[in-house]
Amino acid sequence: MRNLLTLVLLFINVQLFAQEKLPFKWGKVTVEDFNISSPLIDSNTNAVIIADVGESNFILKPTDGSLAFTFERKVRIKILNKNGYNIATRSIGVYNTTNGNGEEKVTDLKAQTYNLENGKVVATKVDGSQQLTERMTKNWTEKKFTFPNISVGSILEYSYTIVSDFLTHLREWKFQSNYPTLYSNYSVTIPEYLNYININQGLNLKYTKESTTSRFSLTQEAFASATYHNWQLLNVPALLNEPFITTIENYVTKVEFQLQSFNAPNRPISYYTNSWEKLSKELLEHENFGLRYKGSPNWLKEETDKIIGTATNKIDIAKKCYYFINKNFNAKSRGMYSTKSLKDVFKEKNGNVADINFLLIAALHNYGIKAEAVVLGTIEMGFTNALYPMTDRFNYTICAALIDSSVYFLDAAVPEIAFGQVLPNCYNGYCRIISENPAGIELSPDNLSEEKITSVFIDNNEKGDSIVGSYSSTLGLFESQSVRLNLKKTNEAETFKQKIKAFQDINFKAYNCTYENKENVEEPIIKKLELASKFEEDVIYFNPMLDEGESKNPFKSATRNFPVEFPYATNETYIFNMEVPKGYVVDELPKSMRFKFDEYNSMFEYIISLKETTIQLRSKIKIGAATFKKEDYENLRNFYAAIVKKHAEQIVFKKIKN
Amino acid sequence: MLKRFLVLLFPITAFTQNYSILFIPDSLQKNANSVVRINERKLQIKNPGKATIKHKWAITIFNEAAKDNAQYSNYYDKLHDLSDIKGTLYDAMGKEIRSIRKRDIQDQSNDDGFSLLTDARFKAFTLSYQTYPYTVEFEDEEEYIGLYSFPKWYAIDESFQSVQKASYSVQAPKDYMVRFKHVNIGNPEISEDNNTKTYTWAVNNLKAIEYEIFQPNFHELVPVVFTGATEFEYGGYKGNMKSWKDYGLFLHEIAKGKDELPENIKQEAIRLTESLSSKKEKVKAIYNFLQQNTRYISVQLGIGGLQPFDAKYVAQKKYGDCKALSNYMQALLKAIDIKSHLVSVAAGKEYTNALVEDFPNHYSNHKICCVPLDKDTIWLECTSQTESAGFMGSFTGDRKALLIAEDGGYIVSTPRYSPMDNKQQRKIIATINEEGTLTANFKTLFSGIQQETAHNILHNYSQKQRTDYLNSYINLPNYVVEKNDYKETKGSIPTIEETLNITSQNYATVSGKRMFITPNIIEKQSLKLPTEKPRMYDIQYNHNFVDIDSIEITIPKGYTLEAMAKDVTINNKFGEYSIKFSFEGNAIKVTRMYKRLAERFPKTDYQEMVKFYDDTFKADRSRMVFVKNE
Repeated sequence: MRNLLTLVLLFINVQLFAQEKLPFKWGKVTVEDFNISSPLIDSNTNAVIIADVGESNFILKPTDGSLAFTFERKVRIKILNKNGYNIATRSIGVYNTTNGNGEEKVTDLKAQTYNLENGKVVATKVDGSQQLTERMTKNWTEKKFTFPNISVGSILEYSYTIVSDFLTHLREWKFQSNYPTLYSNYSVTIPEYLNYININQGLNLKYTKESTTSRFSLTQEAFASATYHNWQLLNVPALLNEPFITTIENYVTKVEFQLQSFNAPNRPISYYTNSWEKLSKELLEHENFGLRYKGSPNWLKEETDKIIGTATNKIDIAKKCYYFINKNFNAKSRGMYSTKSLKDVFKEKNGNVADINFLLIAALHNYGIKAEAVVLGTIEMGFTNALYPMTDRFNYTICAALIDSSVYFLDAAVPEIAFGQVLPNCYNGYCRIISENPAGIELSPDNLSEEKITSVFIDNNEKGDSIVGSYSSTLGLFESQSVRLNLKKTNEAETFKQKIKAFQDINFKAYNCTYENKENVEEPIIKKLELASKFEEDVIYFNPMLDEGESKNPFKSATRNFPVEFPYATNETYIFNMEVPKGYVVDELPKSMRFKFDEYNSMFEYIISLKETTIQLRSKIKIGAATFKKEDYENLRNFYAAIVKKHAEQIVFKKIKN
Repeated sequence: MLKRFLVLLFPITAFTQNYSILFIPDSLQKNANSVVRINERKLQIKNPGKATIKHKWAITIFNEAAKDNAQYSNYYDKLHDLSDIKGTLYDAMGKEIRSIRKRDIQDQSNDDGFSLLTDARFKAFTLSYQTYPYTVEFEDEEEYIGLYSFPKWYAIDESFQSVQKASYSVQAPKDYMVRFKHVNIGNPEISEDNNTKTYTWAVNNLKAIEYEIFQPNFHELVPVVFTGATEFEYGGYKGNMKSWKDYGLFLHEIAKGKDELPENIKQEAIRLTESLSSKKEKVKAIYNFLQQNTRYISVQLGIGGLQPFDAKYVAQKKYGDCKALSNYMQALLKAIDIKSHLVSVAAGKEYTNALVEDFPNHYSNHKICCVPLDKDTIWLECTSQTESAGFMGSFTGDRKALLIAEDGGYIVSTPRYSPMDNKQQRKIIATINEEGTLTANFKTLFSGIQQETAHNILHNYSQKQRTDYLNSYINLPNYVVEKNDYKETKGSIPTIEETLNITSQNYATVSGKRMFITPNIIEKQSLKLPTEKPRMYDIQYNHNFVDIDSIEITIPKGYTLEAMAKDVTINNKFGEYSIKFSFEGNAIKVTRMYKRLAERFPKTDYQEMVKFYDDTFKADRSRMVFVKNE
């Protein structure tokens, strides 16, 4: 590529009238500049970003004429109180490779603190000795510095340029941070050779585009035009986290870029990941993806034959392969790509998630079972895009197996889950089956439901001097997994300790605690114990929920900025049957109620009755969706408030007087 | 047939020296999540400027709770080199599964998130495995450039871990005096050759220690060997650690000449204090100046871990770490002719007993400034912009520390706080309406160590963070803190008065004609002590404190008391506790007091202690029931 390039490079500045201009000059701080007022600033604001301006341009590097981009950023900040001092320590991160294939460098870092002293503006520079470079990991280096001489009211200004060889890492821009931002502007000039798509999320940005007079040349013969893009947002409020959000990253206002192709004159066009079809094809041919499980390794079949035994039907074989791998292999980290050969994975009994699921795919192929890899991004990675394959959002690969015309999603890398089960953090919307005919699929948390049924039966003992009962709770699949993992760490007695204590607090002795289905992951865990108690006082106040009720409203805040996101829908039923204790009568019973939340297929019911000497209660909480709109927050909060209130109510027993 | 024989016979000889779990005695498996099979540490002192530690250890891991032991991690920096790292994984029968390769070792910055820069880096990898039990074996070699401090040797490193075989040896030139202190273990075996002398401690078959609440410090329970240098060289300086006096001289030497101030700052210090009469007032004024004009930023490079930046540097940049800021404070006081000292201290709640007075050594992780005055001594925490002058709190109070003077080091005691110093006194005036909603005004006076949380809320939280915090930590149903206010009174025992207006929906449960109220609203004993197993160790309480509550709740008219809460008074060695209830007109009144002393009790007192906690747990949750008149 270098031979083709010469050092002809021309830019003509584009004048923009559509966008708001910067209200000050960089490097010149006046006394008036210290007067910052904005409705976004209140007593909670520790610092304010007065302006954050970025610009990316493409250049030919003078050293070797190769194509690179520069990212130039200028920031002005004002510190409003001492808790804002943290913002004075900054770091700038750059990528590096270890194989010498390109680099990124920070240049022209300038930083100054401005203070108002006796009516005059005094500047203090961050000198070179205070700029420190630290290699954080193999591929990530940070340049750090802290502003000197700061106090409340200081204005901090800094600027730097990153020069990067990595065209696929054209910098994204976030318009929002923990501090309010009064002026945020990002512009990118892209030569026509390069085809990027940009993806926006969050608040509406003011966007202008000019197909321009600037010219950018890769060869002397062929000049090309470029397109100037500009995004702007003024008076951006601070972004604050809330509970029940998958990741705040999903709500940050930003623009991102995805390189599609590089089509320079006189050289073959190079495509990047511009379509799912193409990505799929690339992955199938990738040495750390498709090639890993391609072919049917005989050594693996020899190993799996030992555990398959006499099984002949496909589903049995698939299950045996799955459980063999799931029980014996240990995932050390997540990952979309494999890290080593299947043989090494097998020998070392570990690998990342992709390694282990590739082993499963290869094992299934050996028996003629159709199995493909599925790439996805776990919820922490933020939303994935259905139209464009944004590969850096993907961090996880599972397996999709087609058996007897049903599709099973399999994740052999997670311990103690059943064949066909995938953990909630993989339910992040759009993902993709990687095959000759790639198919988009949706793993939506709305389709995932955790069901739990608890029942309690209490009777008088034979002598009639105590009450005895049984408790049984059939857990949902994910809670079952967490119990199984816990049991691996400790033992049953330890795991039950809390429950026993909780019963003690309500004057019940709990004993004979057991877990059923500990080994059989295809069945839910059933938690069982026996109960005994003695009533002696003249008046007994008794909560029939025992300690199973909702005692706290999970939604404390009265207001909400973002939707409420649960990991899955839930359905919890509690059934209670009690014989009135001998020698007592029911003086008072809570009232039945039903509360419906139809838009979300959700409801709460508490139905209680006394028939002769038997009390029956059914309490059911159904949350029918995983995501609730922020407009419905108040209803959701009231819904929980009603549950908490009802679950606190008591039955009153009175001793029969002789 | 022959082949089969070979397979059977061969392992018997080959496996005798290995990590098969068959060689672990039953007694070591009891209460153990892991067993240290072997742990050899060899310290070799070459000369005052150089030493190496060769370390080899192997641990059998029984279950997931001990999984962290499969993780290798060690640091290195310019004065501490790390090499020859090895790691091998074995299955239950001691068969090798894999060894670590160089590319598996991660090399990462030890960025602690608040240091601006540190040259310390980490090498790390993990050997974790799916099938328990398994054994991991590690080796590494550390080189100390300068004999400044050596790690303590613990025969047992953690709870729930037994030890099959462990040893520690120190080899030093015959003419180099090395110092030891050994606790819970006897004298070393000594061997000599022409030039060196070697001291060795070894232990076999130590049972696992269980974690118990209020346990004494771990180092009191296990064999420990402290190793100390005499002559040493560090970062270009020479010193001796044989006595506190000598060690203090070294610390004084490296800070020497660092207390020059720019002329304008000197003048500022004089101007700020010239009108003040007492030395105490002057110190406070200078401390206030320091707090207003600096902030804490940590930089740890080479000897920079010990040596302060110049006072001039701090004056200009207005930041520094604990050493630099304490040194700057000292320089400011010097400018007004008040003498003060740097003090090296092991800061943090868990380090109150870290310094061993009869064994001079490096124990500290922090520096403070101490100003001896005629009548009392003022202690200053120079990294805080908000702390009261003279208050050390739980971070640096109540412990021994090393004061640095021109003529060497001295052991001093930092302030200790009495129960009345660490007081929490609360008055609650509340009403409950027909729906069971509680509306309450809380007025709480926190002092000493008990005001530390409130101090943090007052100074480091924005109003929104404060509201969020208050709306999540109080143990009340469906409550909202509608108003909050904090007033601080600075002093050597600082106090903060907190006022909260709280409403709590359904605080009282209204069920038909009855109303259930727990009149003790928030100050509740939350602990229930385990009784399944006999107590193994003594009981240790760390802080003195006292809580005093008075509560008045007005309930709606027209209710009759059906069930009354019982008064409880307990007066025993675990504390003084009393709670009293009354109901008159339509007002409930509660008074509660709980006082605890920092003391130690023998393990035989445990049953009595369990009862104390059970009784107070119950009494704090006593309920009153009212019936609506018909």
